[in-house]
Order: sequence, then C-alpha cells, then structure tokens
Amino acid sequence: MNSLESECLELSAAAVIDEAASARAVAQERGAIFSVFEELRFVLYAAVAAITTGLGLVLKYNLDRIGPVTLIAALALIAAGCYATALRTRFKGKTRSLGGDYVLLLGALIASADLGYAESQFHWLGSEWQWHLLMLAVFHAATAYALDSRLVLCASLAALAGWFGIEGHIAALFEANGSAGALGAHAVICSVTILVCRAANHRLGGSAQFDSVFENFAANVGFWGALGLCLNPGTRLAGIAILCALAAACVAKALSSNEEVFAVYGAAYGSLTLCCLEVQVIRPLLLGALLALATIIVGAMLLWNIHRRLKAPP
Amino acid sequence: MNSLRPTPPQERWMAVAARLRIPLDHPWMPTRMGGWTASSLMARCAFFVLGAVAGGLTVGVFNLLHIGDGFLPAGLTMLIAAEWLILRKRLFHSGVEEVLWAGGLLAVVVAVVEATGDSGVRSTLLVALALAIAGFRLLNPLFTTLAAVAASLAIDFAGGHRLIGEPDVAVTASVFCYATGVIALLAGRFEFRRPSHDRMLSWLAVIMPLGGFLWLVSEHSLAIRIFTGLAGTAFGVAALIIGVRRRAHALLIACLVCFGCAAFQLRDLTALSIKVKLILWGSAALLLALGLNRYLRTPRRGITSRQLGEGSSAALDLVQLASAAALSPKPSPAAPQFKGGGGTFSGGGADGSY
Repeated sequence: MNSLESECLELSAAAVIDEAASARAVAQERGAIFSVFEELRFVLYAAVAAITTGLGLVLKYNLDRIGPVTLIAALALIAAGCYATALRTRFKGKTRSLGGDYVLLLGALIASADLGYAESQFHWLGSEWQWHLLMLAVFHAATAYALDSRLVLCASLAALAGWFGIEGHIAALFEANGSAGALGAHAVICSVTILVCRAANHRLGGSAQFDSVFENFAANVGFWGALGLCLNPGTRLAGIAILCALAAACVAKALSSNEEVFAVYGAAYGSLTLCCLEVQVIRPLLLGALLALATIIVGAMLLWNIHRRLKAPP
Repeated sequence: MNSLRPTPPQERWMAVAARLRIPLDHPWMPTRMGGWTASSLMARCAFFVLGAVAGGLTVGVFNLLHIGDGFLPAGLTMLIAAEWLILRKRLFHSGVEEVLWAGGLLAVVVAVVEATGDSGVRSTLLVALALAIAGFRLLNPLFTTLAAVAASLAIDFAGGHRLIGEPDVAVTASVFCYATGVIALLAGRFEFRRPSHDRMLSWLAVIMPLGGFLWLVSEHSLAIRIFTGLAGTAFGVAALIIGVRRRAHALLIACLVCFGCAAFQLRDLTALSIKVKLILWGSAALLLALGLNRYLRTPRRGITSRQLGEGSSAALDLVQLASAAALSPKPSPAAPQFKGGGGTFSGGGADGSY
C-alpha cells in the first residue's frame, strides 16, 4: 500500500492545487472515493469483443442451418436495439453513460458485420463489393455525429481505411511482393481524406473531441503509408518527402497544441522509418547500421527536447 | 543526497506530480524532485522502443565489426550509456535508460552463456538474475515481474521440460507462479515509502497467477483443469476482496484476469459451440458491467463507476480509440463474385493491385 496524502496536503497548503482538487486527491488517497471506471471500461470492451467475435463465427459457419435472410434480419434487429438505447438517452436529454457508449459501439459493429454479410450473400454491388465499406463509413459517421460518439467515429474511420484497402494489411508492407508501395499510396490518400474530414469538422463547428480522433487516425495511417512508400524502390523519394512533411507537421502540432502524442508520432515514426530505410538501402551494411543508430539517437534526443519544452507531467 | 536514484521522498513527489498532473516547470516541483526527471507514460513507451532498437543496432554494429559476436562489448556500451543517462542526466523511469540497462545486462548474460555453454537451467537463472538486478536498480516493475517469470521457466527446465506445451506437466513452475502471486497479494498490505515498490507487487499480483495458469493451460487431465480453475477462482475472489478493501486497481485487474482464466477452464462444461459460448459469456459480462455501471453511479461505500478528476490519461484514451477501431470487421471479398484487380484509386483497391 502506498499513500501520498501528506504530499497532497502539502500541495494544498502551498496553494499549488486548488481546494477542490486537493479535497478530491486526499479523498482518493484515503480511499474515501474510488473509481472503477477503467475496470468497467475494460470489461465492457472484452464483452463487446467476445460478442462480435462470436457473431462473426456464427456468420461464417451457420449459413446453411439458419439461412441468410433470417440471420440478416436477426442481426439488424439486435443492432437496432443497441441504437435504440442510445436514441432513448438522447431524446431524454441525458448524457450517455460508459455502458451506453459500448452498447452503441456493439450496435455499430453488428451493423457492420450484417451489411458485410448481406453483401457477401446477395452481391448487390457485384465486383465493386468494396463500396459497402464506404457506405458503412458514411453510415457510422452520420451515427457518430447524431449520437456524439467517438467510438462509433472510430468504427467509421476503420471502415474508410478498409475501403482504401489498408485495414488489416499492415503486415503486407513488409512482404517482398512489391505491394508495399501501392498500399503506402492508399494509406497516404486515406490519411489526406481523414484530414479533409477533420478540416470539415472543424469548419462546421463539429465536436473538438472528434478533431482529436481524426488527427490521431490521420497521423498513424499517414506514417504507415510513408513507411510503405519508403520500402518500395520506385516510390522511395516520395515516401521520404511525405515522411519528413508528416514528421514536421506532427512536431509543429505537438508544440502548438501541447499534445505530446504528436511529438511521439513525429520523432518515433520518423526515426524508425528512416532507420528501416537506411538498413535496407545503404551499403556496406556497417555504415547503414551506424547511420541507423545515429538516426535513432537523434530521434530520441528530438523527442526528449520536445518533451522538456512541453513540460508535461511525468 | 542519493545520486544513484531518487530518494523515497523525491520519488513520492514525482508520483504526486504524475497523479495530479502538475507541470514539470511548476516552481514547487524541481527542488522536491531533486533534479530527477521522468517521462509521461506515452513518451516512456516511445523511449523504450527507441532504446530497444538502439540496443539491437549496437549489437549489430559490434557484430559487423567482428568484435567477438558483438554481445559483450555492446552490452557494456549499453550499460555505460544507461548509467550516464541516470547519473548525469538524472533520468528516472524515462524508458530509454531502463531498456538500455536491462538490455545491456542481458547482452552480457548472452555473451557469458555463449562462452560457457551453460545448460538451460543455468542460463535461464542468469537471465532471471539479470532482470531482477535491472528491476531493483531501476525500480522497474516490468523487469522484476519478468525476472519472476524467468525463474518459473528455470524451475520448469530443472524439472526436465524444455518447451511450453510439451506433454510433461509443469506443476512445480505453475505452483511457484501462484505462490509468488499470493505472496505479492499479502505483502501489499504493508505500507511502502516508495510508490515503485508498491507497483512491483501489483505487477506480480496481476501477472504471476496468469503465468501459473498458462503453464498448465495445455494440460487436459481433469485434476489439473480443476486445480487451475479453482486456483484462478480463489485468487480472483481474494484479489477482489482485498482490492476493494485496499482500493487497489491492480488487484481488481488481477481479479478480472483470474476470472477470465477460470471461465476458460469451464469451456467444456457444456456441449455448446465456441461461438455460442463467446456470445453467452460476452453478453453475461456486458450485462454485469452495465448493471455495475448503473448501480455504482451513486457511490456505494466510496466506490463509484464515475470518472474522477481530469479523466483518464491520454495514453488510455488512445488505447480505447485504437481498440474500438480494431474491433471493426475486416473487409473480405465475397468469394464467388470477387474479381482480382478491381481495386482502383477511386474504388478502394482492397485487393491491393492496380
């Protein structure tokens, strides 16, 4: 056991923290108030993951026994039930609880699985089957805005990434069949699209929390795209240019908005990608390894300097 | 002044600054922290990864220079660099010095093992010892826990087993893990001056019962399945009760992990298929969590489901968003209708070809 109560009281006496913060901190240290929010979040996530995995298996192996129409209707009904709880909270003018957030996410995931399954059974879109992912992205985005849900917005962006052909294919970046460049180009275009959505959200007065979701997705997808381009000989120069631009943009964003995560993206993704490139391209190998080591050290120093400048709490 | 690492009061102030999100440049903090600096969780993870890559490259460079097999000089270099970062730059729990210190010592161990040709037991014990030394030098709970896991591996090797999943029974290693977990659970009642000592016990209480379960998970004999199921349940219940009493998050996580293990061992209790079990267990967990969330909205004996303070850390928020995206169904072509090469810039290109 470990109690930091005496330090909290000292901070309060010195007016480093205000009275409310002090009272809360002392209550937490004494155990007078204890939040199980994170534990519940973990259980809710595990539950939603188990249900969606189970439903995925049902869709995969039970086609003949149940029949597609029954399955599609049943899943649509369950998804509608999940959405109904969120709508009910919305119409009552209440704030959705943590549990409500995850029930809504479950509804969105079931809707995704249902539409994908329906498309695979009835081939409404024929050879352009990928378009159902874009439909899903739009549907989830509309739901996310209507019900103010960051989790559903994540499902929307995941569907968008799937439409661009990059969802679940990160490992392909390292395959030797030359697909890294194409995948990288798709990822970069996806990242730009997400940034356009972010700009539209900002311009149209959308939620500031959504801005953060867009930015984090755009940065991650963009860096993976740059890595893909860098690993392909034909697109290497474009990849390096995009990598440098992205890293600079992330560092600038970190410094302007005091968000350390973007400094981590800029320094870590940037130096690790350059490191991969140097080991792959530069010969003799010893020189490549030395340069890669120097790049990593520079990346770590850059991150440390930004970290010091942001003065983030430990 | 202790210059090898922060004194207990200095470490406590660092923990307070992290918990209350007090900026590092606040005039109150630097003098109390004795000039030591730590990173946020996110930066610590990034530094850890960068340090690990730098360590690997150092081994590679010495190997290419044909200085032995590279491990001994690389290990010593990493240890010197880590100590320089700690003693001169006064880094504590910053990620980079931790991975360089532990990686350096492990590289030295690898060099020694290669030179002496030690057996599995002795080399695993050496790894455990190296991790324990790194854990106590750096006050790092990850390394002390890994040391305990490596010790269980050495116990299994000593029993004649070589790989996880072989038909022989690794009961001794499993019992060692459960016993370590129980000791950590009980030792947590003492009050420690250093927050890091508390964290070391917390990590052991979460990971070791899981280790004990994993040692025997591939065994299908009824007695072993009953033993692991009962051990998991008993540890989970104990962790729940003690965790609620002590207001300890780690013990509640240990409880969830143990209940998950017990649920896994009950998999053959019914003839239901895996998909039905997943849906049933998932629905039960969902309903339970929703019920608890609602019940604890009003604090009961001080326990609440509401978020306190300024919310969760940025790192946990990011994990939540990434995990929500990870749950989205992956696109897969409809087999009968799919035509390769359909992907275009305007059409998604899910096949990755043009």
